[in-house]
Amino acid sequence: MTGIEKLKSGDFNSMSQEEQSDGSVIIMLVKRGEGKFYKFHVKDLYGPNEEILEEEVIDG
Amino acid sequence: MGGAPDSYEEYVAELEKRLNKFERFSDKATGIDDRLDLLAKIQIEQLRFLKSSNSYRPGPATGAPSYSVKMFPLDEAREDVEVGASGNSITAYTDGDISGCSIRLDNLVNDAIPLSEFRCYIPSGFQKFWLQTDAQPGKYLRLKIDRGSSLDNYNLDRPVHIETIQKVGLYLQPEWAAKEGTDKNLLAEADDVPTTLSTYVTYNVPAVKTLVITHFGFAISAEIAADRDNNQIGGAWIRNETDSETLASIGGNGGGAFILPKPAIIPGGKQFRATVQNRSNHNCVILVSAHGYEL
Repeated sequence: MTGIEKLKSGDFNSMSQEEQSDGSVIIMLVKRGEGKFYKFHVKDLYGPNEEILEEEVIDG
Repeated sequence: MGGAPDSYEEYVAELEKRLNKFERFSDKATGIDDRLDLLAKIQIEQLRFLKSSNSYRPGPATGAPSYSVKMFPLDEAREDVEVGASGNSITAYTDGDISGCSIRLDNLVNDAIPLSEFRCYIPSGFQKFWLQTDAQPGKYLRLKIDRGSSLDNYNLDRPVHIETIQKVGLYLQPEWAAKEGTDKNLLAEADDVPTTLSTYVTYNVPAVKTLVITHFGFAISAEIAADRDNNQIGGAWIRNETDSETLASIGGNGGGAFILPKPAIIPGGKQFRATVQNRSNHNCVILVSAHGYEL
């Protein structure tokens, strides 16, 4: 499951959002017990032109 | 003395066989005999009542144990595993989930009895049973199989009794959510934010879920060291953005927190947003967080 899929299905416990100067956001999701961080950079989150600019899964 | 006497007359006759006249005379002289006789009468009447109401069963004449306890590790699933234990009643305990455990009494063709719903009691007894369990690694199921006199506490007039014993505990809903892994912590942070500007965290609640926010808070501090002795005023609020509904707001110098006495509910399909704004006259680091759980 990708980070954006986890966000939209609610499959996480903690979400940290950092707004960027161009209006895009960097999001970090953590689900307890998984031992992974889902980090992704998304433009127009929830909007019609939503686009993932960058994403990575980091082992905790 | 053999068994318990059926009547007071039998009891007296039994006494007279064992006591000499002097003993009986001295008992009567002190009044002890009267009091003991009264207790004996009461006990005999109680015994007679229990026998007549079918709520009394003598212990097993063979001296066999009146109950047994068997433990079944749940590391692997079982499908109709035969257990050769006879009895009249089975009660169950597990440190896992009992909903996947059931038994068939006496015959494999009998319906499976879910242990989560029933305690099994068969007045005429059963000779063996078949056990089905789900796999629950690290957990166990323990069965207490009663027979004969160990059933004295049961009301035998009832055709079936069923009882399931599980561990129970009381949790506040947020604590329970954290234990079950459905808790939600939503956070946003921004550096070097000028006066009146803000940052936020946005979460669209999945259609099949409901977000419940129980508390939220914010923090604000000066961006540069020269401003840190000044006031850092900020404000924060949470909203259902879809319906333009402000659910709660707070303000303060340096930050604040709000435990909602009435949790804020954001239905599925709605957008939740927690925002923090810099209201100081200098640039600040600002942070907002909202906490709760999802149903």
